[in-house]
Amino acid sequence: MSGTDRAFYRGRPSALRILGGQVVYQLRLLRRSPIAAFATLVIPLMVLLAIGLLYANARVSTRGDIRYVQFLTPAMVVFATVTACYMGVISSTVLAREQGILKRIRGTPLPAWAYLTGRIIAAGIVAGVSSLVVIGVGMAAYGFHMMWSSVPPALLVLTTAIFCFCSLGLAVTIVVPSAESALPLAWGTMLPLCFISDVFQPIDGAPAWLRSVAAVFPVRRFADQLEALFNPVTGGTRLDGADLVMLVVWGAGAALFALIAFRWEPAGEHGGIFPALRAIASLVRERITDLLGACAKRLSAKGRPL
Amino acid sequence: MTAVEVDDLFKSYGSVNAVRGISFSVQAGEVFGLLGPNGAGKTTTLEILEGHRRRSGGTVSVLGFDPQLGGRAFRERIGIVLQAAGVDAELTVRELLMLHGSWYPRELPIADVIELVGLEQKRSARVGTLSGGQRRRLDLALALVGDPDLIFLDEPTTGFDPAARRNAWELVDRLRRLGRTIILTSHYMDEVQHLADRVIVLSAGRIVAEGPPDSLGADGPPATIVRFRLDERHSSDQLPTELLRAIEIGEREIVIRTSAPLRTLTILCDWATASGAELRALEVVRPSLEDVYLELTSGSSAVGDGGPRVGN
Repeated sequence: MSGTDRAFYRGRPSALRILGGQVVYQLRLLRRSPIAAFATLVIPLMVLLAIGLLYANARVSTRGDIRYVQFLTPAMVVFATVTACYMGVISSTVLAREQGILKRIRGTPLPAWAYLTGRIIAAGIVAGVSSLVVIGVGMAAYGFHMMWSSVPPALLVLTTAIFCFCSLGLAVTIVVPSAESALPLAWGTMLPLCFISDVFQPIDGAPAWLRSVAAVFPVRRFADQLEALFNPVTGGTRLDGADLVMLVVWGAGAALFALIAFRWEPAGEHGGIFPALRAIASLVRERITDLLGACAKRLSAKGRPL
Repeated sequence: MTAVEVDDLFKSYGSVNAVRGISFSVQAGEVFGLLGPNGAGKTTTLEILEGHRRRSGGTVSVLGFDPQLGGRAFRERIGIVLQAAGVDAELTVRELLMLHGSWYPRELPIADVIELVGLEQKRSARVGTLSGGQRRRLDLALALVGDPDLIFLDEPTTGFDPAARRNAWELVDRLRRLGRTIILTSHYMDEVQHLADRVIVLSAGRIVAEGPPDSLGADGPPATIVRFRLDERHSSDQLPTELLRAIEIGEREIVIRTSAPLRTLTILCDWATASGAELRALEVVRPSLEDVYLELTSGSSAVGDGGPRVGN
């Protein structure tokens, strides 16, 4: 035997090292899962090509009479981001949970925040690559006019949206009862929102109530911001603070819920939406009790090694 | 030094009481076995010790930590082989071990761990291509890569072929020699008998027996069996009266169940000497751990359903 007595001590690994490892791990998994990569990179591109073919030379009269492709390309960046961050995170996380991979990880020293942040950063990188591909194809195939001065604020919006939709995806995994229901639930919740949020076509002529409903959700805020940044007539480089705040609030709320109630174990006997909700309620209760217990222990043992 | 201390542990799932007030301790460096049929509460107990499950009552201390609150510092010192847990099929054996190893402050050389579990030929293979037994060996490797002080093995050799089981046993023996504390559950009685220094037997969430494997059943059922054949000149009804009420007449042999084998043998031999009888194929059979286990957990004995016995 080479020996288990040859262990080496290097001290607790730094947060950066652990996080870097997580990002590489998640990207490697994605690279080796062609179907996941297809869904994330190809679907937005296909939608861009299909709608572009039909309406490339049409005009959007409600938005300064710009060419349709000038509206569609940033809209498809929105769709690509939502696909990579929301749909991608839900399907891969639920699958890992139902296969017992998360339970195994939970028994190791890998901190929960590192795992969750690693997922967010990896999904963000994929969203970035997907967005670049969409913009490149939009420019090459349909003559999308790139406004370079809008790139810095667009990056800020994109980063905020990545955080928002990844957090939402992680939060939604908590109520997804099984691997089979992950994708239907992800698409079923996001696709209708995309339709009413100016992603596939501008709904400027829609009833006011529908626009008001859409304005509550982050997709519309994200889409309107990005589309305005690349509109050479009515848009500009100025950001709407309310839209950004809305994205941050949705993201922060979802992240908090995910941190408190994240489920590391397969649903098992908690399969089904109502048992899942009961399990979540009990989990939240337990996590808060644990948190209080840990705080009390830390306070009482302050200055004393464990 | 005590590695694990469990006092009056309770666990219920709704109205079902999975664990009902069990207490035990495990010393550092000990190999400790949890035995019991499905549903006895052994995996629940193990998962409470690992920190995977919350207890409903009682106190638990593992390496000085409350597993529920131990967090990262606790998990840096334990290694877990779960009964069923997935791994990323797209990664190779080496990549997965490197990833897991990078989370611990202490790490065993990856090549050593791979060699230890006998996966040298598969180090570059994707996990998805491994057989069931190889996957289980990878489970063991993942539990060991952080050089843990305490290792939980939940049915670690299920699905192994006999040779792989022997290898796993050797591995546990090595870990024991290195001073690691090991808590294991198993369905294989020979495994527990071979590996464990002490065991507890669980049935319906309660401890029904505790001690070194060889001592189980020493002070209770099932009985030792004394088995022999008589020569043609003697018949069973000539045996001493005190034995007569405990004998079973088989097709070819006479069987006596006794909780006092020495006394029974003395009476039998004295009678045989006095009467000139020959005790052919005389055999004294101690109950196996499996017999003890079945009797303790089901109330019925594989040896003979609590037939008449010679007692003290």
